Amino acid sequence: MWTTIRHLVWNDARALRGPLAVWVGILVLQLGVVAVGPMFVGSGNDRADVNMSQGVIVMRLAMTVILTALLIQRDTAVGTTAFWLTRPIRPLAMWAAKLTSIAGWCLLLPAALAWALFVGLGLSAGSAWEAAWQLLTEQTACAAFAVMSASVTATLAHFVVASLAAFTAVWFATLTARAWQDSLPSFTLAGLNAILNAWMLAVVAGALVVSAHQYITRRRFRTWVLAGVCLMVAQGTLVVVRNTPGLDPATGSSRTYTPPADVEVRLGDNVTDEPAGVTGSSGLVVTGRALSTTVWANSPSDTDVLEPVGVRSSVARTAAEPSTMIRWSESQRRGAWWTNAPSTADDQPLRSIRQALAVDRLAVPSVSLLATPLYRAYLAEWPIDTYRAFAAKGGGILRAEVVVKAYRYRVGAAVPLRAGASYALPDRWLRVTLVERTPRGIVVTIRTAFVSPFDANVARRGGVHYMLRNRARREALFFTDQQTSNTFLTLGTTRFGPGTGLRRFEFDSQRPANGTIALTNAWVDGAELVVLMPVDLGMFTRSAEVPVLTAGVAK
Amino acid sequence: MQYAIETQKLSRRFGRTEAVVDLTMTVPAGSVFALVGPNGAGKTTTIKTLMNLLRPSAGEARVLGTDSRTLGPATLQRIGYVSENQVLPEWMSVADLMAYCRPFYPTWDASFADALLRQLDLPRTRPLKNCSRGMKMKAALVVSLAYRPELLVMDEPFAGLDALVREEFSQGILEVAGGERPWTVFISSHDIDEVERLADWIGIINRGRLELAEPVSTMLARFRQIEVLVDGDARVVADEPTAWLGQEAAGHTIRFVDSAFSDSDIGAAVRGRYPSARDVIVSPMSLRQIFITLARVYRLSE
Repeated sequence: MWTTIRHLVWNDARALRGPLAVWVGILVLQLGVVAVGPMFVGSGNDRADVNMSQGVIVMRLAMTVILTALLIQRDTAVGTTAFWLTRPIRPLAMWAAKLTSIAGWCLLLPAALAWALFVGLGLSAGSAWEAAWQLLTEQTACAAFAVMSASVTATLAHFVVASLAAFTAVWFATLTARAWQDSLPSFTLAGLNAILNAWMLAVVAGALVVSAHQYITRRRFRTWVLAGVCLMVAQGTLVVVRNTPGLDPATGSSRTYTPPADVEVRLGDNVTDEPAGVTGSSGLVVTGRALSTTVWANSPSDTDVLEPVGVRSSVARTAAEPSTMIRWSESQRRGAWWTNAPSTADDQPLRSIRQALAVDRLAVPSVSLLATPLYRAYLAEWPIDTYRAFAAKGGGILRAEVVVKAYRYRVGAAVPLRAGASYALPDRWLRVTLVERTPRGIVVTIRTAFVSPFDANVARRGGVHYMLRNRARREALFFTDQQTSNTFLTLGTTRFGPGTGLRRFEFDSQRPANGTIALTNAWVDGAELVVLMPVDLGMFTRSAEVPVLTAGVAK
Repeated sequence: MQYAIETQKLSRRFGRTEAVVDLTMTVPAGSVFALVGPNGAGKTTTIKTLMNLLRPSAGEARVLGTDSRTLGPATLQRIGYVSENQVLPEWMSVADLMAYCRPFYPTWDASFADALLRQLDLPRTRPLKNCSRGMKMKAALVVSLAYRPELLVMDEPFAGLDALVREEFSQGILEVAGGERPWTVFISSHDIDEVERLADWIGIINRGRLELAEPVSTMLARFRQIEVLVDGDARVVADEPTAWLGQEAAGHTIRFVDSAFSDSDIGAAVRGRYPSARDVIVSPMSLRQIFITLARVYRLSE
């Protein structure tokens, strides 16, 4: 059988040498774009590099789909006219040969090239594999759908029609699942990585089952039904996994963090009564009556940062009465931004960074992401009649079970502040390309290659930060402005994917910041560029409650 | 093995359309069996069912002793298949096609394949997409003969071929069929002329039903064109034997086809029906004439 498979694979390669040459050309083009890195910084078109790299990614994905369809339909299992059907070739051997060709050309070749590229760019073998894995994941998802569709169609035209139909069906199924999911008063905890990994497994398994079924039985109608079932199962997986409590929102891990005894998880006491009909930026509408509030966790530790990532809320008339679960969602998702911010911003990230940098003074501009508080605004929503009845009786208690994520900053790299200085971390490589003095401070330009531009899996608000530090003076400074441009290897469905970037950091000593630091020549001479990275510590759950609607019904 | 192909009440439906109905047929090993019938009679469906390209809706078929539904590589290595409907890998040259097929057949005879190529005058290196229809069919024939299959199944192999190519094609089939180890050839055609020279068995299929199947020699022996010259105006009798097909009268002559001809009985049988008969002229029939007669009869009976 292996001899037959090898023979068929070889003939596939010969038959499709034209499209395969195009395919290799696209791969080389894309890897070349990533290798060269951003080219249009300062050209006035901030998104030119991203657009170009995404354009090449779309070309790669489109060619993946076409190549997969060509490989399968060259020896189709649909109809009665294919040459191989009357030859002594086992259907399983043909199926395996097709999958081998697809895996080799569409999955392993690009992954191997990507791995080699990122090793060449200075990443460790493990991190380069992580980058290649992301590409492999994207390619696998794309090829799996194409396999499913190509297995039940005999021509490219039919393939396109079937794929569009399937895509539409999946789209509606996703919207339906999402609407149903939004109506659940439960945790929506599992994050994108966990969800997509599970979904990916379901899609790949579906593609294998559907294609094998068609090759072995050649019963197209049944295979169509099977494909439909597989797609529904895959979409169902999204819902099931997303609603699985205890999974890390981003990584899917369930590591537990043991918080200090005096940790405080709170709901904002200034609960706002929101009208129904609020339309968010995502197009979702708050259909019932909603309470808007915030949730945050205070960390007593100087090193550990606590960030709420999930909430399950309920209401009760009194503490003794049973609670009624109510639907919740992030305010941001609904478009109701920061409606109810706490009056004091906590400085958890800054404390952790100060500890990591071992500095006494840390200058961070007030507009910096790091200076914003670590709270979460959310809407608790329930049907209007229930709401009115509840409020008419004098309100009660809003309870929330809050999932909190803990992380800690550490210094990943410290690079001397001179052009040409470089540093290789396992998951990123960077080189200072230019250091310019300005009347108000200093501008540092670096080129970097990375598995992810910032490790958002650990900290939601941008994981990796670049700072200037003068170790002798025990002072550090966050940039006041930056120009960033990236060329990505993948579309970044799970997170911002691997790629190369160019960053131009402006450190301005005259811009308002908490504790401005004068960037004198002496200070700069002893300075270094520091890469700060978050370390995942795990999660824990705490309950919090706050009185609501005690003033009666809002009209 | 007595029969290369056996079918038992084989049926195949497409929705409400019955393409093949209760087809029971045996193809003796070593014969050249021609399945003929008008377009849409069910020939291609029958062959596709035999080759496991379609599943029977009812009944069963055995090909070289194997149930058609389980026809696998082991049996397919003993079967050659040529069809006008088959899509050849057109990017290949004839040589590529042979190199592609060769590993699948342990009995592949390279020298025989070369001889066939020469005999059929096929260019080895020209891509199939640049070949004429006749060349493609000849290429398909070569890669279906080169491993000396026990059974060669051909579905309308002559359709659209010019006379010369048809002759070369037939010659190729005749040589292998009449070789040292006689092969079974099962061939379908809508035109009796195309298979007349090849076949030693004939099956006639009409509207999915097998109307007859018998050796060509038997068929030629039992069918005769009869002309009866009568005194006075000829008039067809109402109670003619069922074996007398297509009776017609014109002037003083009555014509019909006797499908159960017996040299010793015909005179008495005719005179029993037509007492005024002066003379009875018996003429042998070609397969084409028999086929046309039967086709008319089937059409009238529908």
